[in-house]
Order: sequence, then C-alpha cells, then structure tokens
Amino acid sequence: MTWEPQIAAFCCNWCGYAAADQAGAAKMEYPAGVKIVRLMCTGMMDPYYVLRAFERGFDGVLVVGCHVGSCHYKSGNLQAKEQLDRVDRVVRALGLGGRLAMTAASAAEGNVFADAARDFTEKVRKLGPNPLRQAVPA
Amino acid sequence: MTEAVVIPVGVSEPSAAPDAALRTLAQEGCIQCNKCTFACPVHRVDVLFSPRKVILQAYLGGGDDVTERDLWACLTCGECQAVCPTQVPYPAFIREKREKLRDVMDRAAPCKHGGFKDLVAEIMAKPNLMQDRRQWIGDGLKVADTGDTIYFTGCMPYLDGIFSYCDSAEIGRAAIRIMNAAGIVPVVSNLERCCGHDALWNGKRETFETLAKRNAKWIVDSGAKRLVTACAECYYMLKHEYPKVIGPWPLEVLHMSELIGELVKDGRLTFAKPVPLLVTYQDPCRLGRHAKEYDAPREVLQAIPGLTFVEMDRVRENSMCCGVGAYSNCDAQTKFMQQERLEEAASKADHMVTACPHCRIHFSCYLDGKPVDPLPPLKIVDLTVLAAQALG
Repeated sequence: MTWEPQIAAFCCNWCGYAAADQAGAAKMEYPAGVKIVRLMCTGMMDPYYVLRAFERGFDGVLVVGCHVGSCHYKSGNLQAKEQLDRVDRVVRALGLGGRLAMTAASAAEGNVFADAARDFTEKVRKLGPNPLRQAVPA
Repeated sequence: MTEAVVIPVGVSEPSAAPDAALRTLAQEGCIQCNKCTFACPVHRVDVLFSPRKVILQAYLGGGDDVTERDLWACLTCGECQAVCPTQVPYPAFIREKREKLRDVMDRAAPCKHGGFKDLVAEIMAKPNLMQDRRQWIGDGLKVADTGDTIYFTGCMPYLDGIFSYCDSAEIGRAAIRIMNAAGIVPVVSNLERCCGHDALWNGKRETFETLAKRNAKWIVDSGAKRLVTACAECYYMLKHEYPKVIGPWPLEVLHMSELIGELVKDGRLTFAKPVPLLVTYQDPCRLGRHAKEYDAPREVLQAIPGLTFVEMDRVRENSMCCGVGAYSNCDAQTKFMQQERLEEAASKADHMVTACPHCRIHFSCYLDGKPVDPLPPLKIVDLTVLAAQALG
C-alpha cells in the first residue's frame, strides 16, 4: 500500500466548509486524504487541535476560513491567523515545519478549496510521512 | 455523645496500608495540628480547602476519599510541608494520589491552555521525533554539538509559541551569553526532550519515565561533565527525580545561579556594568522548598554591581507560590494569590527577580491582564537575564 498524505482540514461553517461542499457538488476532484472537520469559525481553532492532529498521525493540518473582512463573526479569521502563527513556532520546533497552513475560500469558491487541498497535499507529500505516526505504512 | 475520631498517627507498618500514597503519608504521622492549612496559599483564597482535612479524609476513607477538587486545587508548592512539625510530605502525597486517581477521575487533569502544554510533553515522549529546537539562538552566540557543558533548555523554546506576553527565549540567549563570556561553549542539543515535570506532577508517571529515559540516554552518551539549566523545574527534576528512575548521574547537575556563582568565584566571569535597579527575589518552589537551593540566586544578586537587593517579608521556605503548579491550576482564586504576592513585592522594590521561567510567566500573565486591585509599577525579570545585563 502506498502512503497517501492524510490531511486534517479544519473548515469554518460559513466559508471553508461551504466551499468544500460546493467543490463536491460541482464534482471537482481533490485528494481523498483530506479529512474535513467543521468548526463554526476558524477563530475557535484551538492550538490543541493542531497538535492533537499531529499526535494522532495526520501528516498535515490545513485551516480554511473566510477571506479577510468577510468573517461571519467579524474577526474570527484574523484571530485564527494570529493564533496559528504562534502555534507554528511550536510546530516548527517539534520538527513538523511546513505541515501547518491556513488559507481562505469563500462559500462560492469550490475550486479554490480543491486547489488548496491539492497543493497542500503535494507539499506534504514532499515532506514525507509524519514522524510521530507510530506505524508508517510502507 | 459522639465518639472521638482517632487518627492513626505514624502507622507502624507502612506496608499494611494498601495505598502507595497513604504509605507516603504514613512515613510521618500527621498530628492534625492544622498548621498546614494556615500556611497554604490556596486556603487563604478558598477557606474550604485544607490539607489537614484532605489527610483526615484519606485516612478515614481508606485512601479514596480525596475529592477531585481538592486533588487539583493543590499547587504542590510545599509550604505546608515547610511548616509541618512532623514533616508530612503533602506534595508527594498529592502527586501519588493524582497518579492513582488519574484514570478513574471523570475527566483528565485540568491542564490550562486547553491541554496544549500536556500534549507537547506527550509528543516529546514519542520515539521518532526529529526536533528543530534551536531556532531561538541568535547571531553571535556560540553553541556546540559536543563538549563538557550541556545547556538544558527545557520547554523554553516552546513557551514563546504559547505565552505571547513574555519573551521566554531571552532567558536562553542570556544563559548562553553568560557561558560564552566565561569561555564555555555549551552543548544545545536537538535530542533534548521535555524534563517531564508537568507530566509527573499531573499524575502521568509513564510519560515522565519515558521522557526521563530518553533524556538520560543522550545526556549520558554525550560524555559531558556537567549539565546546566536556567529553569527551576528542570533543575529539580533532573537533580532529584531523575536519579530515582535512571540511577545516579555520571555528571553534575547545576542551576544557572550555581554556575554563575562558581564562575564569579573562580574569576572567570566579571560583572562590569552596573545595573542600578531596586530588586527583590521570589523563591521558586521547585528551586527553594523542593531542591533546597536558597543561597545561590541571592549570591548572584549580591555580585551584580549597582543592584540594590531587598528581601520580601516571606522568603526562603516561607516564600509564597506564584499561584500555578505544573499548569494544572489557574482560576480566579489564583489571581488573588498573585495579587497578594505582587503587592508584597511592589511594596519593597520595583523589579521582582525570579529564577524560574514559569514563575515569570505566571506573574507576567497577571500583570498583562487586569489586576484585581491597582498595583504600583512592577516588572518581573529572570535572574539569568538580569545577570547577562551586568556583563556589559
């Protein structure tokens, strides 16, 4: 069995998740390793979620929120950005640099979501499997 | 008339007690004098919390009667043990209780920061980890991959990613600067793991032992002669808890304050630049009451030219805790404890020096937010950073 990057994609209810939904409705293809977790807002993206995903063996964490200025809760995406920049320092120190990314896709941008999922999966593929995963499939 | 409750004082056969935690307690006999309660910083803000009552319940309830609230409210700061006439090891008792009850409690230990810090320690215990933990070392600082002296950074490289209100990496840079000034090029290794302090004190002995074994392996293999750390928790763990798991160290474990004292005495380090500040010193519980190191940090403060050092009223073994132990207890009551200690410090000086990065974080956190009552201007400084300022 070949290794496929497993990505935890945290999507906000109003933009990121709707974009993923739109991508599905429009039958756009994106890698099957992308697993979607819906949050009400990326502002509730707890640093714990990021580390927990890595601890459980995910190879990458992608956070998809609204574009700047169009957050349903005014500033949740900006808070998430600030929070994730800080968490990224911890992630890099743990030797997992490059495996955490944040992007924005509006509810109508299914293609943006699918492209981001594809690009991020390819980026993670170059980094190889998450070293924290106990048994890495050959 | 009700029958008087008899407490089994100093149980004669420790092995008769089925519970390891109770055995710890039984080595010394609690005489129910209640001195601990009045020394306890938690009791001052929460009158229902009493170490004496917890001990009584533990005896009467056969060892399972410590409530979850009492179990996690304890800061394990050791003020109770310091005043106890029979030296009952209350922090050790609580630690063993946490180990025992961790699995049966309704929820996991209440690690603040949503469990983030606990999880970092869990991840560090994993075998294939390839850390990149030397990013904070700036230009002009010399570190090596092999050598006689190891600088054990602890969780310091990770703290900046969590606590935005205080620059923890400056402690590391200051420590390396001091060592470089004395001609020491310290080893800073990517193989280093968390010391396991929070894991052990939050009842995760397995995680702690894994971390201890992984750390011991690279430290012993490096062939270094001494290990220096600027953190009170790492120092206490490496010096006093690690030998219980991995056997005696083939090297010397030093706190930064001890190393600075030694270097100043040998004439290898001179403080040339006066630091005209009025400071007071907060004894960290892990360095003070737990590791019994009170004098080394004070000697460093006295060696810095231009510095005026005044003691607070409650110092050394009576020193008051910063309010948070092992990141497991921080709530509204903590803020009252911190207010009390900071008021005391502010009445004596305008800078509070501490030798533990965690005391610094907890006090800075309080000052960063909205104090309970207005406080005079006060700054929290780390001892190592202060000493580096005097280098010029």
